[in-house]
Amino acid sequence: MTESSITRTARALDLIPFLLEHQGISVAELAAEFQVTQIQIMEDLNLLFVCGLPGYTPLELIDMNFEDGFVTVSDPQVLDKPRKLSKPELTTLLVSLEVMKTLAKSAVRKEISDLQVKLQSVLDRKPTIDVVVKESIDSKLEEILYAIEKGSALDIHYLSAHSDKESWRKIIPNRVYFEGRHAYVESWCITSQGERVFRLDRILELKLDAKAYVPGVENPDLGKVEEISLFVSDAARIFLEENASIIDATERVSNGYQVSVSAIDQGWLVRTMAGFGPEIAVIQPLALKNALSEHLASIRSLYV
Amino acid sequence: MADTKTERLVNLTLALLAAKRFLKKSEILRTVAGYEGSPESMDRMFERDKDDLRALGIEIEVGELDAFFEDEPGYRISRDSYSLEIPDLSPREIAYLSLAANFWKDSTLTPAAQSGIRKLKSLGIPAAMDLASTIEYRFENPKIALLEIAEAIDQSRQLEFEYQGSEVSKRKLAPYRVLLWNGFWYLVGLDLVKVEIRMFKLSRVIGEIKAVGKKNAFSIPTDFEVTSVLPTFEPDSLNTAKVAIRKGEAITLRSSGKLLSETELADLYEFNYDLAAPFLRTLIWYGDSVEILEPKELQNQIVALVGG
Repeated sequence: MTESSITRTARALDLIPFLLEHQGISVAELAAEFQVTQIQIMEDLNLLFVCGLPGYTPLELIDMNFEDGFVTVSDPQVLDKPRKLSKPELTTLLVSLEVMKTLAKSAVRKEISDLQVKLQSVLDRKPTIDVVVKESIDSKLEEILYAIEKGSALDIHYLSAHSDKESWRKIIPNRVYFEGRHAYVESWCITSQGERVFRLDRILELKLDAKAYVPGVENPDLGKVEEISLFVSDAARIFLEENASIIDATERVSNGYQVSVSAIDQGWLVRTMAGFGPEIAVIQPLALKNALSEHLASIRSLYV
Repeated sequence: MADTKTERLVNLTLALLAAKRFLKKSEILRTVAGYEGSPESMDRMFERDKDDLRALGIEIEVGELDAFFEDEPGYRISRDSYSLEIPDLSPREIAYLSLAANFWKDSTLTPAAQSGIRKLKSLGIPAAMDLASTIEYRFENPKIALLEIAEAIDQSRQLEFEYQGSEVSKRKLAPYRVLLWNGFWYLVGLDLVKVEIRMFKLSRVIGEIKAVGKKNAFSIPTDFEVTSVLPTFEPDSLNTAKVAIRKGEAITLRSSGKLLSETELADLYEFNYDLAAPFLRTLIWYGDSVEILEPKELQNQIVALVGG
């Protein structure tokens, strides 16, 4: 047993008020809720079963039943209310509310802000974790969210991320996420019959298409995934940080890292790597290495 | 083996919570289950138990000597200080809080968020709805124990760590805030060597961050706002470059510049930039659609980067 008795005491004290509001919950659900094993929850219940107030006669003990795998509490003694929130609990909730507020529609923003004030009043000093989210909901995003809600399609005028070319596409947006400095729209692209992710700032224009679309069959053949291996020097470290989502593995080598990159658009990768000049080199495949040299050479030819 | 210590801590909490008046230590040791052994060892046990409960954030009130207690202090836990009391939480608010608790996915902040929401769910307020967020905010999963840093900030203790800047160096900091910005975690504080406010990216910290020295070693200026130290990307007061963009190309780039003039083959734009390196990366992304005309120095830099 590695768990400290302090941790265990905390859970034991929190179990009873939780059970009072979740009478008849199964041991399995309870274990999942408290993120411990069922064996651990049974040990906790057995421990609480013999706890109570001085005197410790049946009348003074916590009265509960869990023999059939479902837990009910008939007498919590004095443990009828949850403990107050600790500072770390309050802090983490306040920080995530702050992010949610920034990304919420204006109607919801006020509600979350009132909630923050209520929580804040319990915390006796300024929170030590701050969050600053630069992005906020603009009209383009409002419209995309509306389309997601209604399951409608959108016609988007999109600037391709890998070829600097624009085109009109018909998409069914699915979800929006923020990563790094950008917002992305996960969608089913009707035009190309496949799942595609679009970067919000590259959507130049959009129009709601009120007709309903049934997504077609998924494009089954994405081709064989080629293994990409790069050398990234310490000076180009920011490449790793900004593109963490495409990096599968990093290995420390002298003056830098050897990284494996998962299958992504190679045109985009070439353009992004090129900005780091000699600080990023392609180890394999050869075709990618050549594409990078070509991109660099085309720029060089402008100046010499 | 039964966990007698946990059992005793639970029993002690119950007894102190139920007490309508302060309980004398001798009373506690005699009546609360689990106190056994010589008077000295029971005394030590009780002292440790009090510390453990305080570590859990449970406030034990001490009633000082008065006539009733003769020469012994008394103890109790007030229901008000023990219990969660947030006025008028609505079912919608509970739903928002559930969403907030799930926000951290699998990070070092998850356990605190989860135990917090369990307590809130024990208030008996049903969540109004199952809010599913259509917007997700992805962020770097912190490897460093953020809450330990938050505690050091709370206690005004200095921090020491090794940092990967242009080279690796040891830093000593009076920490002011932990910051999540653009999806990355930062530590903001007064660099005690450079004697200025600095921002450190937590992913560049090598190894652990250690709290050193005494508590209350510094005080955070009361008017400190983290937004005041964030780099601004305001387009004035920076460097300027003139760039030729081939007709019909680099369309997204155009929106961040100012059109100066047009020729048959290209459009001439002016851009303001902060640091050369990220600006050059942006230009290089567009390949030979974009040519730097001025300044000469930036031209030299791009040529060096692309291997001239």
